[in-house]
Amino acid sequence: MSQNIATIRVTRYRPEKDLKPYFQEYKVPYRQDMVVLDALNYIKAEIDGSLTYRWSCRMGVCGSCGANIDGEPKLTCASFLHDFKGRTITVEPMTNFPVIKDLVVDMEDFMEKLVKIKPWIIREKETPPEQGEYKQSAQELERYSQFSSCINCMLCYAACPIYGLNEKFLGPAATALAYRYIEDSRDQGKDVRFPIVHEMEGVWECTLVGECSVVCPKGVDPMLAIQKTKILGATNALKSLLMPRGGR
Amino acid sequence: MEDNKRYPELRKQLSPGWWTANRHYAMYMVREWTSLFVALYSLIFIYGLSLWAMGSRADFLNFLKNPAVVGFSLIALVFTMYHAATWFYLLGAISPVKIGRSRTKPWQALVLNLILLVIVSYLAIWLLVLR
Amino acid sequence: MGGGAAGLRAAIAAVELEPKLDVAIVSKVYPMRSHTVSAEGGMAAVTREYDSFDSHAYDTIKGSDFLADQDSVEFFVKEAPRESYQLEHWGCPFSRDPDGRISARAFGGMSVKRTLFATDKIGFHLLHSLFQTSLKYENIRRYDEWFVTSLLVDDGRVEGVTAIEMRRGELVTILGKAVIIATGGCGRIFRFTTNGWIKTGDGMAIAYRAGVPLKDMEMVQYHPTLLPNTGILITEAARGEGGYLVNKDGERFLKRYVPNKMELGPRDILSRAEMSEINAGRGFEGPYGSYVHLDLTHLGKITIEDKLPFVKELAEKYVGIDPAHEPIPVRPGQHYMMGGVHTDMHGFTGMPGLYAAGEVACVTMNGANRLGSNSLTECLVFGAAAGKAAAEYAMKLSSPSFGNPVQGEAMTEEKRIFDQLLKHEQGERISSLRTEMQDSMDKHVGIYRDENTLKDACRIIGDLKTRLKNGIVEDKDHVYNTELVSALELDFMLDVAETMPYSAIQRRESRGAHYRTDYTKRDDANFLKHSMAYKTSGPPRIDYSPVTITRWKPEERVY
Repeated sequence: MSQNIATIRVTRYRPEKDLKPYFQEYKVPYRQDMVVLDALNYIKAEIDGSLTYRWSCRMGVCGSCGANIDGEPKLTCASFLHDFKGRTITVEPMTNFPVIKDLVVDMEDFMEKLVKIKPWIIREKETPPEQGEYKQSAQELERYSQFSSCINCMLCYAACPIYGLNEKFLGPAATALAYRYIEDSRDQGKDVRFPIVHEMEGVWECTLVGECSVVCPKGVDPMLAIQKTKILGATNALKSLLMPRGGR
Repeated sequence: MEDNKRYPELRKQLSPGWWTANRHYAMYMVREWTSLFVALYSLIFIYGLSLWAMGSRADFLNFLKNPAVVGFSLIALVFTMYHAATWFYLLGAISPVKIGRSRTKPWQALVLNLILLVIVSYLAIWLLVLR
Repeated sequence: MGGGAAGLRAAIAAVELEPKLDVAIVSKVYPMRSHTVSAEGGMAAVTREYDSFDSHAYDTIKGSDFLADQDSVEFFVKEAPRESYQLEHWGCPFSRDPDGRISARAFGGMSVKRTLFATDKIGFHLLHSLFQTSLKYENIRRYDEWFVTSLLVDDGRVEGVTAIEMRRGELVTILGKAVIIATGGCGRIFRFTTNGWIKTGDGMAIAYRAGVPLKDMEMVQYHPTLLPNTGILITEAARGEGGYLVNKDGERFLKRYVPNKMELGPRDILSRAEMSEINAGRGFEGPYGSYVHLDLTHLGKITIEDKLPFVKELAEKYVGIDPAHEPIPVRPGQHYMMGGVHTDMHGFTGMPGLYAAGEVACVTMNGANRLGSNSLTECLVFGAAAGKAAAEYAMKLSSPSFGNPVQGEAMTEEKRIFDQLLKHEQGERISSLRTEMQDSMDKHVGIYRDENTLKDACRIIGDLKTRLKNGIVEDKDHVYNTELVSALELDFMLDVAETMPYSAIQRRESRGAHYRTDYTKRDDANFLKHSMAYKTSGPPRIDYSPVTITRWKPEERVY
């Protein structure tokens, strides 16, 4: 019997009914190629319609379905049941976020940080699109393309203990996105973004735990982006010290 | 806004034992604690050098031969090596070098820097002690 | 309504035209989750000297099996380059040629290489570039995770929407001088689809209920290369870069169907070709049904890693195959709706104050079959057009007042949802009703249709609509009630699903993606026209409207 059944332990929290969260267990038929999301969908469709969670694309590109699975931040649509030890799997909401209901967390803090870093192309002079594209070489593209792959799933924030201790920390995804625009050859907004990323709760809070890059499902490597931003900040400070009047 | 009081969100504090959840977190904390040993050893070494400056080289070497200092130095050596190795690895992760289509891996930076460490250490020991 | 490519583009166009306008984006998910994000292949536009507007227009019109309105297509192809460069200016990380220009690849049905791409994640990059750019306009306000339930119409004029704020679970009225519907398609009406969970035809149903007709609803695009069981999309770009479709005998079977274009033929013909091969016993058998092979092994590791990295990731993760060494199992499934809310080429639906753009709308430029890589450009071109048209209209009006008729409507709506739907204590589960609808649509309104299967569909959907009235929602909470939302979505889906077999049954011909085994020929004399489905208290009423032909006379469609 145990071969074909998996047990899913899910955190339940119903703000209108519960003061505290609790675990609920469900038995789900097990298939070799099932992902955790399939199990959640089965539970919601067949057993308990009140189980609440986010999902959409089911192929790891929309970033909706982040959760803590057996203690690790993962996408439920990209976590196969057979990857976990045993047939009991614990699914909790992502750590470090306030919980709205069951597995759904509050994303407003991240949305504010997204706007704060000004994630758009800033230029002194724009040429009209009728004149064609801004030319960019493959090498220039490569300088930032890795950091443009962020799907905003926020697993990195769930993994970062610094963010857990201090909600004001700018955090991995936001810094990676800021760095993506700083390094984009078409952007000229370094001076606008530097003060934002180099304030105290910007990159300097990061003590290189590195877990953000471990959990990132898209290989963005936000830890790298943060350190590179630190290096930019340090060299910038040095330059302005040595050449206060000029030097860009 | 009153609704947030009516249907409150659940907010959890990060517990003091957060770093026990995961092997990566635990290794991170060990790395951070080793810096304590690096700092302490540096102070002890500076004190030893000051004995040489104010006295003679023999004073310095006698200090180093003190069993307590030897004991502490051995412990500090282990932790300092761990500290150095983790930072060499991180150096490789932060500054990969592009070779053709691929990039260098962090372990390669670790190996390279360990070799450099051995060479520099030998030179330092030769200069200070063996000469 | 809707925060995908078309919705975001419309909002930006509106505030750029009229900076004093207050624009709200009301989306049931955060905009980064919109299904635009999953588009992979590329976006088509004329950017090269070897290309021409006439060529792009002719390819599109021929691809549509001559059902496209040619004036809209001409407008589309002329605006496409400007929209592409504008997107690039807004930061989209397109792949580049050695001279620094945006790269173009070959795509199905396109006679030259005109599909601009960003490795194989154009939808992701397009959506994030647009969304991040929209953040810079202060008068674009966002209502994230607000689920729109109906339009507020006063005296034939649209004055706003009612929406459930999911966080608090309360119904709120949002008044506006104009509403642009950009909620995407309705793929989740089908069981086997590339579409994400959120594609439930909300906007189509809402416009339909307000009296706007749904046009060409029988035109459902089946994409040839989906992974079996999951339905995950493997982009056409895999074939654009040179991939082969192969049957059980190792044969590139398309030489018997589209000998000139082979794997770059239009999607409707390819999907039918695959099904023919499978029905003739030349397909592979697997635990999830029959399939054919998409063979990329001859492309080499480097091409796959450079141009198709996401395909490699999906194949490795969900099928356990490295495409450089093994072929990928694929079969056809639902992907896109050519049909939708009727609009003109400026996104206007005919009802004052109501506009639509993107997959939800039917302009129509895609006719009976859409060419791959046209739809992202469609979202940008017609999103911008609708945004501008709605902005101009809104500037001419004074603000709506919260007068009695509108308030009354809102309160009736609130009652419908919370008192009727939510309060049932017994009844059928929403999920089982939904699965029945999906299975029926797959079976009866699929790649091959005939009078009998379509009649079955009409009957089953009608029956499900009645049964939904006694459906039960187990989750009685107000806060973030996803089951209530699923019930409302099912309600929308059934309305939209009903229009499909009724439109299909009356179109007694085969054209583009609509293929009837009982009427296999295209019949221009009787059916060179658009089906228009109108809501009635009973089954939908099907009317017709003419197709606009400008320069390209319908001819036989061979590739």
